[in-house]
Amino acid sequence: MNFFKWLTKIDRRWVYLLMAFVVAFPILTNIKGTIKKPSKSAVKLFKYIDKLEKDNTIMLTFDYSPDSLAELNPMSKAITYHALEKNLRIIGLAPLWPTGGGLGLDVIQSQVDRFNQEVVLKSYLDEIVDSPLIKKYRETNKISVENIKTNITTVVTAYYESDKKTIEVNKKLFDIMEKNNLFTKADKDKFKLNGRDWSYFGYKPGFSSIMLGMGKDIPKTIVNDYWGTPIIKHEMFNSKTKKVKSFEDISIVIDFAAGASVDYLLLYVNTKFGRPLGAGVTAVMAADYYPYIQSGQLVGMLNGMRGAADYETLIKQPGRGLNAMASQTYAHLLIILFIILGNIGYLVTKKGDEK
Amino acid sequence: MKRTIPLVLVFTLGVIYFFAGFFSNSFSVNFLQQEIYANWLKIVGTFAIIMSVTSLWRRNYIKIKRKAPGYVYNYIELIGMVVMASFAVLLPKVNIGAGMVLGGIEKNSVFNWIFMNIQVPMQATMFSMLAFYIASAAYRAFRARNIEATLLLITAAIVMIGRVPLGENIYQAMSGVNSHFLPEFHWAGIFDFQGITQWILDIPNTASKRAIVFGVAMGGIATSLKIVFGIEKSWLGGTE
Amino acid sequence: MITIIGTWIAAFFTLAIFSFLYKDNPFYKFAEHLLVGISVGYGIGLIWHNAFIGYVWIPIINNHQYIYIIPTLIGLLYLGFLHKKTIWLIRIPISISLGIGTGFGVPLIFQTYIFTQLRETLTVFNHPGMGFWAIVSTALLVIGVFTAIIYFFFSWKHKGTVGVLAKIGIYFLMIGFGASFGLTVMGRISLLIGRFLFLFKDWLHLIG
Repeated sequence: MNFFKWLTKIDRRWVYLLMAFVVAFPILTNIKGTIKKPSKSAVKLFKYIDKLEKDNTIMLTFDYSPDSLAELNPMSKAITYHALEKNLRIIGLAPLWPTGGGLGLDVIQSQVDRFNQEVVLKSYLDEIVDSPLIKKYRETNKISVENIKTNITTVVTAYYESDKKTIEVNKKLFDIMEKNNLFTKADKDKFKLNGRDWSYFGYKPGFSSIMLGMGKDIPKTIVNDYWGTPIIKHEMFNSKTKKVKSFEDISIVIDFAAGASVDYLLLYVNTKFGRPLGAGVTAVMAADYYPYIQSGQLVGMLNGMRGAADYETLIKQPGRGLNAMASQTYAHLLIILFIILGNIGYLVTKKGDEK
Repeated sequence: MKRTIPLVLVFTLGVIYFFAGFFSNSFSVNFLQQEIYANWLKIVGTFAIIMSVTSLWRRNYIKIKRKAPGYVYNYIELIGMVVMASFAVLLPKVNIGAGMVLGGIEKNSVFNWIFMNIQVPMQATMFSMLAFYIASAAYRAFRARNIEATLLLITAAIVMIGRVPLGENIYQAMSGVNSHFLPEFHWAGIFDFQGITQWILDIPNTASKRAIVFGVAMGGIATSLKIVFGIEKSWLGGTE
Repeated sequence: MITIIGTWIAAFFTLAIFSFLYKDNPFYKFAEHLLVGISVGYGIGLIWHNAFIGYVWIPIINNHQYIYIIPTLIGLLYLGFLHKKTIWLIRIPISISLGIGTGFGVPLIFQTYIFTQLRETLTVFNHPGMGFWAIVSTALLVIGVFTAIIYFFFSWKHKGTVGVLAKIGIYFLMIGFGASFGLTVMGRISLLIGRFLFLFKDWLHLIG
């Protein structure tokens, strides 16, 4: 009994330390979690996206702030990567919180850059990174092979997108590449370009107004993208054959949410305009959305860090979601142990008091 | 007048827009919904930031003026806001070396750099501390005092195991034992934490959350009607 | 180089916030106040570039759609917040947004949360080829929804049959809350793992 009394009086900071150890141990010892059977709701969402055809458009809404980045970033990155692999067009925006504007930009741009570098330009980069001029530039400026690949990807992107500001920032490298006709070797058609293959609107306040407006006319409602360019100038919105005009042209809207945005999107995207809606939510609120999966109002859902791990497993691209699963397991066991100990202590103390 | 005009506006617009959704004529769709609701209202909403900037400014200004304890921190709040906004709005987009630009909000701008390297880690860490508090609460507060609380805790424990790879591993191990011992009776199923968790989420959880959805929706509709008909006035704030 | 500096600064602020776990201290206070300030500054920056330019500047200045001066003026009434005597002016833009939003929202709320949810509860058996276990589960779903609703009916005394049904309802609710609670624990821990992955992987490079 003394043990349990001691346990209830122990300084909470020891508990914090134990928790920190339990979470840190699997990370430091590189224990990886694996998932054999992904959750049902994640599989549903995956299957829906997987069966979409080339040039179909998906809309990702980033309704979260850095508080829940750990859970929602891995899943939003996984879905973005999947969409890029499937050659789907991506539209991103943050209609609820300003911080979603910056996080969404990071998610989409990082995955586009990664895809361009690791998939589209892979053989091109391997070839030119060892060309004499690039090698000389790399050695003079003490840039690692990995970093030069990233820089070249940035410059190629800027070249194709006619992005003068980025070209100016990377002038030296750009000049070397232009003088030696190195750009011609890159594959522009497969390359993911802003305005053609993806578009990012940033933070757009006025949630319900925006949703209602996009049901009829996206360019008129949104007007400009994150960088201030009117979106109607983008190929995605002015192409004669496959332009995106309204929700009608969006195959699915997927909301990454840490608040009530899924509820609002259900009202507008699903009920008002009848478009399919998927969600990636924090574990804290996930249980509340199962009624909508059962009713079919949500196509599928990723539930917290596990949802991210499920999706990473499904697209065979391990990331932070799967990385976290071992620590998650250990920490859950610790919490369960605490609950059991606390309750034994409670029962023992109660019996002691009754005597 | 200060109260009447807003109340009349809420009532009139509330009634008009209640019916607007039922009509598909051009006046309703193009004017009421697209022009006024979508195009006008988003502009009106954009200016709501004025309130948060003013409140932050006022709160800090008062503390600095009174030299309240720790007022130095209030300077930090104001400087943080002004510096951040200046980088985005006032400063020119010039190249400052190291692949960075001074003004603007691009990925390689100082503004975005501050966001990604200062705001994001701080805000993310702030909430991550809840993991420690929940650990501390686990053995102090989560007591199985009655059947209801016991049911809650057992469900929580099953879900905690079922949502991590451990749940799968236990089931796999037990299935192995099962195949050697009484294979005709699939008793390992009781260790299928992942399956049980899925069932809990799909059936009893869905049922209970759906009942709550009905309640919340009814409450939301009642509050909306009270606002439109001027019974609920707390949104006016103040008594004047 | 700039990336490395950024990571070190991020690590400093991460540790400054974590220091609160030991006890309150000036590093934590500094970080906390800085966070509040730059969050608002960040909001101003994004609203300016992402919203104001597109919603107000381009339509009025570039496209000469002067009609949008009207909502701009209504929005500017938020400036009334600056002074005690004019603070009531903010009620105008609020009342317009509230009136339109609530009026338009009510039918959608009915449709989304009540009609569709009710329909899906009443038609769950309408799937041919359901096995025994599926029928039992589906029956439990329907029983759960209705008993939980009965529990919320406080105008009926929870006695006799109603009492029994309400009791069943509360058991369903508790399982639901248990699921939420289990997932909440998971969510909170995920956030901590996120920070540890940053510290050990992105900052200290202790793991690959």
